[in-house]
Amino acid sequence: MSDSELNLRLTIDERVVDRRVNRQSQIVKKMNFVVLQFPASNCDQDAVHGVRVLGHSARLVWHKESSLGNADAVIVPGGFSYGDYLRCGAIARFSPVMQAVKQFAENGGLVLGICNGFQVLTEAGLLPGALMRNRDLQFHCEHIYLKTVTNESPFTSQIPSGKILRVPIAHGEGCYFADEQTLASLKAKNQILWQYCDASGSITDTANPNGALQNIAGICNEKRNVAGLMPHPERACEKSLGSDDGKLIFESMIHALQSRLAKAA
Amino acid sequence: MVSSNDLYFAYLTYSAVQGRWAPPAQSAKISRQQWQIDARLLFRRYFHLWRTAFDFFTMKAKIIVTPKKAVLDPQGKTVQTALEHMGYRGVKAVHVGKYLEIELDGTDKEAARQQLNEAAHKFLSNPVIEDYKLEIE
Repeated sequence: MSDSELNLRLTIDERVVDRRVNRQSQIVKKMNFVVLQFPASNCDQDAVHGVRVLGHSARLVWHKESSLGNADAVIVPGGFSYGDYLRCGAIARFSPVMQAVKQFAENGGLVLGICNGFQVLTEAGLLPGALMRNRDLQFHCEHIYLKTVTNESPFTSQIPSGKILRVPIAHGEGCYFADEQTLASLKAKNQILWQYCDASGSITDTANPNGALQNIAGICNEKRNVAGLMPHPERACEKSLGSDDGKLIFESMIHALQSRLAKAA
Repeated sequence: MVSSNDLYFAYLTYSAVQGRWAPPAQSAKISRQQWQIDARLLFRRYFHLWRTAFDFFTMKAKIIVTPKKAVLDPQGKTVQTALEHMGYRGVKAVHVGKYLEIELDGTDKEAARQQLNEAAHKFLSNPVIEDYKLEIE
């Protein structure tokens, strides 16, 4: 073997080793989730738990903070922020922490709004449309089935295609509404992420718990880094809770964050 | 005609409003108890005057928020069917909304209108699903 040949081999080997080390460190690297906490948020601890179950770290941030620290992703949790006064999420959107979240989203950070968090994000203008009173005026607290419309988002990439998710809902105002123009652009840009369906996966009116337009349960923004959904994936992260389908959504986020890191490296 | 008694009452009112709970110097002969009775009387007597003056320097805004016509209003629909069940005829449609009453300082209606229009658009109503009507008096 000539010197130059040996040299070449060594460099290749080093590269391979480097890549392996990198890969390993990416797996070990814990992602820092930030879970916002408004007065009367009540799913914040569940969200923190859901993330920790997956082996990543989560931290609560009070609504009066104006910085998110070293957040990799933000979860706006469910609950009844500010007592749902005036409209759901209408007051929360003006809190100092939401200004930081807006900035974070502008820079491309992943933001997931769950239930009341979805309402906050639509009120803040980070997501299109609005959420209204359920069509039967009743609060729905039950398990429903979700169909993932597209895998092309950081929130759904790890959900096997055709998989029907079984996750709980708990809301009184989850009826998604958007005007025709917005709805058309949502469809055209493939922004609808989840729809309510029945156990067999067909999208029917009876499977729609709240009267949402086109059975929409969750959407994302044009840049695909902000998403919101009415069901609670954080309440379905462990088998002992009846379902661990919700885990897939967090796993997708973590996968997206890790592949971002890999790209940057 | 304004009597001296009236003037005395007016002064008492003034001092009461100012929060001075001591009788005026020129009527030092009046006991504290008597002054308190007087003050109470005068408050009743001139209440409407102060009220008018107060009203003159303040405004009240009324904002009515209703669901957009194109948006499904399940609450309105339910109230409508309830009315029909109760036997009220000719109810074409019901829209359930919100009513906000906002008390304001100052007398500049135009400035207030501008400010409240902005607030109503940004915060008090959600333009995606709601319309609002603003009145200032």
